[in-house]
Amino acid sequence: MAFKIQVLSAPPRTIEAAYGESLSQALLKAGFPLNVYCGGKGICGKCLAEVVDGTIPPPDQEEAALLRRAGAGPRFRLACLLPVRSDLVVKIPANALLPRIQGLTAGILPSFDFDPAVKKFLVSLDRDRLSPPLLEAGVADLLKLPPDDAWRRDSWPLVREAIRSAGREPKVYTAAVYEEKTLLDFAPGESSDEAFGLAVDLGTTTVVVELVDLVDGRILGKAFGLNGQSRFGADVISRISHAILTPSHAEELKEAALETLSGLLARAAAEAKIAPESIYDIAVAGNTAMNHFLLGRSVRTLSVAPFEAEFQALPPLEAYDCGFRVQRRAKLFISPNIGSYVGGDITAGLLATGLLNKPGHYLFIDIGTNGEIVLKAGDRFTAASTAAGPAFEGASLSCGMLAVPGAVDRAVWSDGALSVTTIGDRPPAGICGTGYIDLLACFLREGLISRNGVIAGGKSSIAVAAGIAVSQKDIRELQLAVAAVRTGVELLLRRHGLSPRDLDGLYLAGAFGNYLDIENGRAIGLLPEIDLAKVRFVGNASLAGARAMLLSRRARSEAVRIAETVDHVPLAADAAFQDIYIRSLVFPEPTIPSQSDRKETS
Amino acid sequence: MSAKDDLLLSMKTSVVDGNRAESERLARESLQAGLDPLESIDKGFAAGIQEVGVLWENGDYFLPELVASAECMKAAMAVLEPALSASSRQASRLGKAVIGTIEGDIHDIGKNLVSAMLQAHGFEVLDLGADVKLERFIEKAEAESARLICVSALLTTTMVNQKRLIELLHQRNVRSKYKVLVGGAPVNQAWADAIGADGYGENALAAVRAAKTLLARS
Repeated sequence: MAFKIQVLSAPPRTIEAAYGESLSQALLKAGFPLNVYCGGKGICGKCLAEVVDGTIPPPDQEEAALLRRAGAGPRFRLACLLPVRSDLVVKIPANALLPRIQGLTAGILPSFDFDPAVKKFLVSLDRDRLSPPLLEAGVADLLKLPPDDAWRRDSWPLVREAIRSAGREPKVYTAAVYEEKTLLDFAPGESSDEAFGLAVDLGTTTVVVELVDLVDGRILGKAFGLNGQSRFGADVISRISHAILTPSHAEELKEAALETLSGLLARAAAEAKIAPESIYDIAVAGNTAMNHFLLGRSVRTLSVAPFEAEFQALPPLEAYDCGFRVQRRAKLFISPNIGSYVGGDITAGLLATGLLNKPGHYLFIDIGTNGEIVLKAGDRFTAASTAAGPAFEGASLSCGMLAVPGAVDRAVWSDGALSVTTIGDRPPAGICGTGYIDLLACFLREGLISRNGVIAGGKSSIAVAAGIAVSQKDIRELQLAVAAVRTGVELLLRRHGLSPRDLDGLYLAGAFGNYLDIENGRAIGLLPEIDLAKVRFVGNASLAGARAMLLSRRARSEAVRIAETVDHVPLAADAAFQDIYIRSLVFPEPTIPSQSDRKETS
Repeated sequence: MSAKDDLLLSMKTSVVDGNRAESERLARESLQAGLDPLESIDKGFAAGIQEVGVLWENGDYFLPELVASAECMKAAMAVLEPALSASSRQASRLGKAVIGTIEGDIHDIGKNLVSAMLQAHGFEVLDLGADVKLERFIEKAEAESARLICVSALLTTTMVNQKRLIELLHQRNVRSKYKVLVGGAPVNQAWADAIGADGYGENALAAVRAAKTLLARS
């Protein structure tokens, strides 16, 4: 027999519950965003519900204690401990709702249930509980952990030590529990709101860290900087070359990564005003070489054909032992690798887009030194990496520079002349990737260069601003970079018998992606012919994915599933690769922008 | 201008334009018209390839044009070669080259371009493909009495194998029999000098120039 439960909290609704079912189960089943932090075990005291009307049994001693601690009023109960035995009218207070996991941009990050791997609970040890024969199993029971061998071996010593140093006095302790299995911390006092995680985007060039509150999902601090490994080589391959020479080189790369990360961690922690010792969990999204370096794994097999990674997915590691100065028992989760040159950063990016569970055909492109491309064709995922080279990052071009103040980042052709803007409105000091893309597109439309990339009128360069120009050689470099990405896209589409028209969407990731003019990207062939409306910028999707892995255990298992699901194909081995690559060096035919592209054109 | 000169000029133009069908047609026409195939190659098609080289150096031509022209040359040679006398065939050949992408590396577009341009310029090329074992370069060169070994590497992690190849040639006491030409994105003249290679080509045409110089000297 079913009861009716009227929920007065916005938006008001009426749901049904079976006899004896807990109120939390009924609410969750109906899709209500209730925060059952401890999984409905009755140990966290967070899923408060105010019972406005209905017949309910009184709370038992444990529930009453939790309610007291939460400072809840007389009509309040814990939804997970309340069996439904009559029709009810309830109100759910705002602090019992699931925290929202912050996404990249509104609406892009899929909703993952808030369910961090690390959770903190308060444990009251009164005089009865402190009596030795009951203590060991008693604490396990309070935390709803099985008092098995693993408990005795890994967790219990922490409890014993904490109680001993606290003088065996009745006290409230705070426990940090990992994956509902292992104790990470057991300390006197109430600190259940001090649990933090570190999300890391470990890029070849740039490293970004984010401090995340594991209790309410908020982002508390952020820091980024250059990867200290850069002094051993600008790109992945040269760092691999360095690492395989001698074991001490590999150690240097590991230390450089850790040094970078500890500097960034200190900055983010200072901004958030938290102690690094209260960081219990770290999630790292990095390319395959980066995560191998960080863990001191051998990159020998990554250096030569058939280019294999030493690992794909790893069980959670001990962060402290891996060199992170955080809480002593904190865990380290490495976003799993898809293949040798499509790493955990792409796994995290895909996770952040929610593509795994989206019907349709999608393309995911992350343009950096390597252009990684993932095609979702129906339920099949194929990934490839293309050697786009450093041109889009400004290297190897006569006036190229990173996207920093003074870089020409936009160019338009208006009233018969080129007009450019720079980052920070500074005097032009050089040109960054987005600037080159705009410039090439303008030059093509205006016939200043041919589709073959030749500058018209026998000139050797085209002036952009005082002292800044695009040379014939620059155009050649850019043609090679564009062709690499374009070939990758075309090959992946061909493998699945798709054309750009069949795509339901295109996700552009990477710092570069955010500022790219899509129409110009299409005009030079960097992006496939796809409606502007279907293109989504997802920015630093890797970081967003790492954050999701801290805040949702399902996100972690999904990341593992992504790495297993996505096929990695070496494009160079494709028989059609060379022909398509050579053909892609010629810029596309000019097309008339479609109706949906509302943009001024020349 | 005579009809023959007209035809030779058309051959050259077809190669410069990358018009493969036209090159093939002109090759057939030249045979029907009784032209000496060696002259068609030298003064017609090969002259076109030379011109392409100039356009490349000027920056007017890029890889797609280079590939198209090499294809023209290949198509014309396929028609003309069977018609060459044994002595002419010998005369049309600059030398035999073994080429491949080094062990551990699978990137072979650059190598393929060098291979095509060497052929277009009259070398007989034995292309071993990618990820070629060091021993195989030597075995093939020995078996075919090649004079040139061309080795490409696209990664800093694999270019060390170019050095190992030269060491292996020394070990086998055959180093002096071959000219070794190295190339690939991370490779430069300094590297070529350091490992004791005989030549280096920054791009496909530079490689052809180096190959010609090396064989002319030996």
